[in-house]
Amino acid sequence: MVLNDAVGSNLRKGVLEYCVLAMIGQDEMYGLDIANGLQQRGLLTSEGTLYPLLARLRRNGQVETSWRDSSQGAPRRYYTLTDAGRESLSAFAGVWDTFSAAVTDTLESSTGGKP
Amino acid sequence: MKHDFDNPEVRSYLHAVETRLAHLPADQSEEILFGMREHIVDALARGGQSTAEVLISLGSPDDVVAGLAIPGMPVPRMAQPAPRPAYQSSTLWVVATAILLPFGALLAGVGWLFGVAGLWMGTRWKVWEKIMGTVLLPGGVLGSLYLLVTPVWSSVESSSGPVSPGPVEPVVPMLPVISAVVVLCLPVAVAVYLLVAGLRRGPRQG
Repeated sequence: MVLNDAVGSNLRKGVLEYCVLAMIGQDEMYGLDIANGLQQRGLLTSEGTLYPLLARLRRNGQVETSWRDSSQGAPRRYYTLTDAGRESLSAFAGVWDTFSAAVTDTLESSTGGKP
Repeated sequence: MKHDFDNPEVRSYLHAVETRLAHLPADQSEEILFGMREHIVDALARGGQSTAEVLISLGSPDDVVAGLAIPGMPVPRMAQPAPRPAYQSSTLWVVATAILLPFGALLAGVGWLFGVAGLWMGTRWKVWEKIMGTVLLPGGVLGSLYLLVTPVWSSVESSSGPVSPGPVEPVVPMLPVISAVVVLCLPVAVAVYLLVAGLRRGPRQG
């Protein structure tokens, strides 16, 4: 499901880069696979926005790229997480646990436990 | 791998993205465009989607540029470039101004004034740069030489008579030699800066 409302859009903007880091952290991936994975999860509405983000993450040293042959023949650029990217992801995961628990707790208290 | 860049739809789409990324350093925009080209090629090779569907899933060129924004930060100016003036000074204008400012005074003495006029009428410099180009130094290199060798008449007022001229003393010879070199080089350095800044702000080819 894709969250099309403004709330969903704002939330996505805040977490997208960490979701990209998390996906790449599972295994090295190439652009199309990252884009498709994020879109299937409803975290990316326009796949093209991924490429400025990937370029920024690479410039910041959070991901690195390498060239590998693909089944289509031509070499393909794969993304892998760097130590800095792993640290950044780990820091976000800690913040996210606390943050999401606080939001859930607040919502439940305001609705009497009913969403 | 079959490339589909000859498809006018793809070419037009990538050109529109490239135009919107024109304010970025070339290596950054090329990295983004490379990723998008690779995406299109991979998606078409995988099959199941038409070219139009692949482009739709990428989003509009404006959507792509929106991906430059950093969460929590104000939208960078580069994502919304300020409109350029309709008229943009030519490269020849910039070069001529950068030459006339330091060396124009050597041309019948008035060339520097043309340089200043070119600087203030030019559209490629900021106000502070125009002020800097004007005051550092009036007359350019000739102004520097004048400053280095011009005698300054100090007035010594005596109680018994009218003002009488004192000894002739150049201003700068009292300063370290390095200061003199700096004064001499300053107009050239400022002109080089203005040249580089002016050329970098030139119209870009899309």
